[in-house]
Order: sequence, then structure tokens, then C-alpha cells
Amino acid sequence: MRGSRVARRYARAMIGLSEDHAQLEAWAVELERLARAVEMPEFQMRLASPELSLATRVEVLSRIAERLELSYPIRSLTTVVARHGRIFDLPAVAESYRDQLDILFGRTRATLTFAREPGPDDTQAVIAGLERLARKTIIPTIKVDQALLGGVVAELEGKIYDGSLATRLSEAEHRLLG
Amino acid sequence: MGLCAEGAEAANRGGSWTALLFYVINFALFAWLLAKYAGPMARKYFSDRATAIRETIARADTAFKEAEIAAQHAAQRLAALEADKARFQADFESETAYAMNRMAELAREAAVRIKRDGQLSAGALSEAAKRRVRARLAEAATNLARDLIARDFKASDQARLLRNFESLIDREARP
Repeated sequence: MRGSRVARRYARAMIGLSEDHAQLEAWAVELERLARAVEMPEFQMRLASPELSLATRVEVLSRIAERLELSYPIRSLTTVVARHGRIFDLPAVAESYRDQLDILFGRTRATLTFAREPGPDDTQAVIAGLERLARKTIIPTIKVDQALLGGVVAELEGKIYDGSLATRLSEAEHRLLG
Repeated sequence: MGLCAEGAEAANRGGSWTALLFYVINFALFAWLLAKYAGPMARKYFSDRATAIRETIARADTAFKEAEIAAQHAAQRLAALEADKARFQADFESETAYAMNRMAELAREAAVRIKRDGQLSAGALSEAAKRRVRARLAEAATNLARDLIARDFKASDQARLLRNFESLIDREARP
């Protein structure tokens, strides 16, 4: 909880740096890349070593930011976070930044799991329906799970909309069981 | 004794006033002697005898009265015993009747309970068997349906499911 509060504050500060939507989106992508790098087990194992001084950690993180070719504001954020000993909060910062950006831009995220690889039209039709439902722009994450047998399952704002054959079969089985 | 012998001779010679006198004197003498010497003894004997008889009678009366009292007591005891017996018999019969009724009632309750338990057990077994059959049928039907879907599922089926899903989402979106 404490980590998430800190992450929200960093994310809010970053969003406050610009009013340019494109810029804010670009920073979101960069933050995602940085978060993925920080989440790598090898990186976490090395940076968690107590033998490393704070300065060394800041230096290491700055070099990683440079190698990821991050923009100056993100590199600055990285340095500040590292100096404050919050390196491992960077994934939470990235997530909070993304969530706040979604709220700011009036959009939300949905995970669509299809039984088969969907065509563009199928995906677009489902997303359009979800946008009408949420009254927001949907940023989809597409997955394929053959265990669904057919249809699609959408997870939107904590709710599951299940149109899969596997669930229908399961319901039919429960009805047969009485 | 001499007078007696004379009297006897006179008597043998035939009746006369002398003989009569003789007999009278003889008898009187005999009576006087008898009264002089045997009378007190006889009186005493009879007196003692009378006393003894009176005492005996008195004891017999006392014993009779005591026996009567004892008989009355015995009769009372017997009556009390009869009453106790009658009461005990009534109590025993009442207790026996109650115990028999209670046993009969318990037996009826046990029979009803056994019957109900039997019905429940039979019902439960039947229900469990039905559930098992339904579960196997449902599993078999589901597996069959899954196999059929995996074998015959077409793109048109997926498209139809997606349209249904869109309809579901549209229904959810309506206020």
C-alpha cells in the first residue's frame, strides 16, 4: 500500500510535466520498457545485493536508462527514484502512470481472450461493443486460449463477460446434474 | 362291727323295729363318723376343687377373651393385609398397564422411526444413485459435445458466437 501510494505520487508528477498527449503516451511506453527491465530476475538479484552502494545503483540504473534510449524526463525520473531507494517501485510507477493516463484520456483496458485467432473485424466488433458498454475508449489485450472451445471472454474493469462455449458446456453440465 | 353283725343277724331273722332301729343307729353312726372324719376332707377337697375349677374357668375366660382379642387383631390384620394386598394388586396392575402402554408406545415410536430411517436411507441411496447416474451422463454428454465441437467447429460457428457475445454486450450497455 505504501509502495502504491509512492508510485501514484511519482506517476502524478510525471503526468503533470506535460500536456501533450503524444508525449505522455511516449513516456508510458518508455516507462513500460523500463519496468520490464527492472522486473528481470537477473537485474533484481544484482541490485538487491547489499554490497552495492546507493551511488552504484543510481549509476547502474542510469546506464540502463541510456541503453534503453529513454527520453530525458524518464531518465531524470529513473535517477530520482533510484536516489530515493525506490528502484523496485518502478513497475508500480509504470502501472500507476498508465492507469492515471487512461483516466485522463477517458479510456480503459480490456483483456479479450478468443478461442481462435481472431480476424481484425472480429476484434474491432468486440471492442466496439465494449466501448459502448464502458463509454470509454478500450485499449485491448488480445489472447488466444483454445480451452474456450469457441467464442470469446472479455475482462473489463474487473468484470468478466463470458461468451465462450466452454462456459456454456459447463453450465449445461451443471444443469444436467440438477 | 358287732352291731353290724347283730343287725345282720336280725335282718336274717326277718324284719323288726329293732332291726330298723339298728339300721338307723348304724347308719347314723356311720353318717356321724363319715361327717366327723371324712366330711372336712371332702369339703376341703370339693372346696379346693371348686376353687381350682373357678380358677381354671377364670383362666379359660381370660384366655378366651385374649383369644377373642387376638382373633379380632388377627382379623383386623388380615383385613388390613387384604386391603394392602388389594392396593398392591391395584398398584401393580396399574403400573403394569402403564409399563405395557409405555413399552407399546416406545415400540410404536421405534417402529415409526425405523420405518422413517429406512425410507430416508432408501431415499438417500436412491438420490445418490440418481446423482451418480446424472453426473456420469452429464460428463459423457459434455465430453461428447466437446469432441464434436473440436471436430466440427467452423469459422462460421465462431462468428456466430461472437455475434451472440456482441448482443450480450449490447444488452449490458443498455441503461
